[in-house]
Amino acid sequence: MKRMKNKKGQKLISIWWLIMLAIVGVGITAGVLIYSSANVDVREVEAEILNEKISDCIFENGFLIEEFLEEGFDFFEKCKLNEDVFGEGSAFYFSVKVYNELGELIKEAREGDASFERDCEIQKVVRAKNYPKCVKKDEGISYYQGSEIEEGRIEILAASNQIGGKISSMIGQGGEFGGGGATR
Amino acid sequence: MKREWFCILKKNRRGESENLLFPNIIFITLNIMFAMAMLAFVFRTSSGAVIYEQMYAKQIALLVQESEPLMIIKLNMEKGMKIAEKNGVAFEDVVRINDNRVTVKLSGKGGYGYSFFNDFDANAYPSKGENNEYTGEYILTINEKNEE
Repeated sequence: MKRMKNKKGQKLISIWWLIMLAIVGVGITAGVLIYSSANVDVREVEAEILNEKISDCIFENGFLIEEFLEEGFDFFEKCKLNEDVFGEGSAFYFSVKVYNELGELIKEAREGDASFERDCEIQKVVRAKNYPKCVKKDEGISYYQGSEIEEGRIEILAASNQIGGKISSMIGQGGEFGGGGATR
Repeated sequence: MKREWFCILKKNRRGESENLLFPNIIFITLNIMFAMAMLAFVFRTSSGAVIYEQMYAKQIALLVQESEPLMIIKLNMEKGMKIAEKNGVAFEDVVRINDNRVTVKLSGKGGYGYSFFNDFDANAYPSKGENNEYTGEYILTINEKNEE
């Protein structure tokens, strides 16, 4: 390679200049690719929405609905949730615990991946990137026990660990979508 | 003397280069070209399909999750329409909702999928103007699921 020199005889285009350009180029490229491939994390928002949905469907006029305290309350039917999404290996989880005035647990219900409950507890102590995002709400409630109004407390925990996924292949231009796309 | 301006490496008697301008011009031009290439790469990547596919898929899934039956939601996807057009994807094929999963496709290379947890019948179709042209908006309709 012919060396180019300026007035003072400094080498302008040399192998070091090319190495420097390469380092800068690789640095910028890596930075941009890392940034553009990063996930937009909406798990916490999702957990918040799920928590609200659960809350909306088990409360009516500020009271816990009596139906919820009975056996066999169907969350999927009542809260319009898709049962398949909360099936095995689900990316979602929620649990509802109702305590009476004495602090005794009178009703507990949960759906989705039960391991999230433990993961949410761990998250309080340790920050783990791939653990589910959890939203827990603990509130005082009123509910009917027969004709009597009772006071108590409710704990609603909702969690999401949905990552979403790139779908690699599609059949035809306007055809069906194919390929993967991990839910968790 | 004038002719020396156009000589790339004219040497004097001692064999030294006398050209003052050319090495600097080449050096600056190459640096500018490198900077432009880097800028073009950054802009192309940051406005690329991958980022917008993910963004729209998650946005739509969250909107559906937050919604109630009988809702109609309009979503501005003008940027998505431009990217899809550039990549040769028809705007009506950009958003699909199947089996509780929103899939957004803005390039021929694939798409991005994101699920929602509601048991609703959600549909998405592009909005059209008076002259049957796309307005850049997508309309999401949320209905109760019909059990058959």
